[in-house]
Amino acid sequence: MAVRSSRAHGRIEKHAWAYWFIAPTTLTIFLVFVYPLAVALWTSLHYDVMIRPGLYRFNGLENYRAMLTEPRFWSALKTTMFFFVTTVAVSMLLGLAVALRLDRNFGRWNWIKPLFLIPMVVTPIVVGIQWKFMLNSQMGVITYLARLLGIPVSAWLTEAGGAMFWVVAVDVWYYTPIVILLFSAGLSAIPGEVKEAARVDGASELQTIRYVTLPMLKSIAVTALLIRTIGGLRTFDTILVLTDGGPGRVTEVVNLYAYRIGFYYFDMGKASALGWLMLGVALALIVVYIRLLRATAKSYSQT
Amino acid sequence: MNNQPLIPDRAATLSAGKTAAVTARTEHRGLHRLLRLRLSHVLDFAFLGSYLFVALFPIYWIIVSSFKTPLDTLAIPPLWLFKPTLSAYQNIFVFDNYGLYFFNTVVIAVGTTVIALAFGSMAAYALDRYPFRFRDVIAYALLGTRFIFPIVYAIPLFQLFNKFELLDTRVGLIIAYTTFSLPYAVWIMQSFFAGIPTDLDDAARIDGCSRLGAFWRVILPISAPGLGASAIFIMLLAWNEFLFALILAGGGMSRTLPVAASLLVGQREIQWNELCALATATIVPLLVFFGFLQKHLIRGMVAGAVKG
Repeated sequence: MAVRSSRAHGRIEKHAWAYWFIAPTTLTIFLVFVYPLAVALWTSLHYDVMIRPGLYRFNGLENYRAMLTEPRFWSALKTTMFFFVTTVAVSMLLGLAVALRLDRNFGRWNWIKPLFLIPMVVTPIVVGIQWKFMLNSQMGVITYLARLLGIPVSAWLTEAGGAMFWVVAVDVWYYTPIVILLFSAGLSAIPGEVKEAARVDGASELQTIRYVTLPMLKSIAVTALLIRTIGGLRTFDTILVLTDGGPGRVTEVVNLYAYRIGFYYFDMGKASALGWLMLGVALALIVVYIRLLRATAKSYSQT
Repeated sequence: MNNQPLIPDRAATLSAGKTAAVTARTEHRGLHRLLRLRLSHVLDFAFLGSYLFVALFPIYWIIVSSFKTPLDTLAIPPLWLFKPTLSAYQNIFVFDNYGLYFFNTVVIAVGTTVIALAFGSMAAYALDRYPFRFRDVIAYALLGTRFIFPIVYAIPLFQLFNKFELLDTRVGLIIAYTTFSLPYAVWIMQSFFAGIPTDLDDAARIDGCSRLGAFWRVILPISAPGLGASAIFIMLLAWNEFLFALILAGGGMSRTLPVAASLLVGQREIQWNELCALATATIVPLLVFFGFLQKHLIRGMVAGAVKG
């Protein structure tokens, strides 16, 4: 091995490698993440409409003020809240139910288990397309079957109630598998002896689930909830294809609204302002999540 | 029974009674359990079966419909049996440019994965082995990147790409995709490296390897499963990515399959069979991958979701 000329030289050498290793990642993250976010902040403080370059000027918090007094913003916010609460609740419950029933050895039929996860592999745009096709008011399969069953259907994707229902349903279809996956992972981490002990003590299956299995799923449930929430707030592709925010603004979630402002009205300033407002929401979510994680970790140590 | 004393003592009577009662209960429960087991199986079959049907039917339907003639797709009631044709595929791949968009998607997905894994695994290794003072900050920062809605930095990226003429380029998209692929790569690989004991590193270095050599020659080969899982996961994300592809490339020559599909669906007069063909072409590679690699994909997804 080479002889080090001095101890100090050896120490620097010893540490330099780590910094080199993280350099490419750090540089990239800075370039495509930190820098654009800063640019977005800067843009949000200006009047910046792409089709009116001559009117570019600094206008301070005007974009923010305009956004917060814009009724369309608040309706988008309300829509987003309703949408994500519904889709998260339904997919979490459904996913948990399926995971619980799948937590069994099916012997020869075990190959069926991965099939339940297929929807989450499908491109979201294709998800939107396939449902739009099936829900088509003239020849859609689902429309046809619904009419057979006597449900009066005209063009439900263009009716307020129908549009919202299907947008949520499609999101549930797409996202439940990840919940199933996470809960299955959590369930397989529960040692069989615990459930055996419960059964020996005379617990019924329902009781076992309620008092033994579910409490042990707490931390994975928080993770699933988090992932589901982020996914629910980010939903864009499917809604764009299915209803394009319609009818009117009924299914226009904040994500879609921001995209509209930026690439339909070309108001980069306002869109950036909305983006930074959404950042605030994201930050609040992070805090909530960390608190939840700490709470579940604590409840484990108390057991 | 012959062994029973004529006047049994109280304890014996009690225990005998208890035994009898337990026996009775167990026998009753045995029969009950047999019946209940059957019922729960039937319920499972119904519940899981209908869920699986709903999960898989849309995919089946769109694949099947891609082989219909335009007239067949519009049939009421919907056709289950029909004469299949490849005309839709011919239209989009032979008479139109969608082969190019397929190629774009492949190139971008592979490129993103390679860069994310190269940069990310090195960073993950350094983060795991070296006691950086700001390690926790980095962990939280990585977690935080997942919370930020893509639209927030898609807009400034659009402005920046516009200035540097990176719009509608495959390279540009690969760069943009690192925003989500890098954090995942670091995240997943970090948890894998944490499971590799440092003795291996030390052994390699005692044998004369530099840090880079130890990493390249010893650690990476061992973490092949982790790399595999991350690669599949990131490729899936990159293939399905829509927002960045839409904003940064749109309907240009570098467009990806998801964007191409969205443009087809936005037409006033939708050619459903062609749309189905494009949709099928978009998801069939994913389904095939899933079929062969689901174990790895699942490992990657769970590792990407759960911390440590």
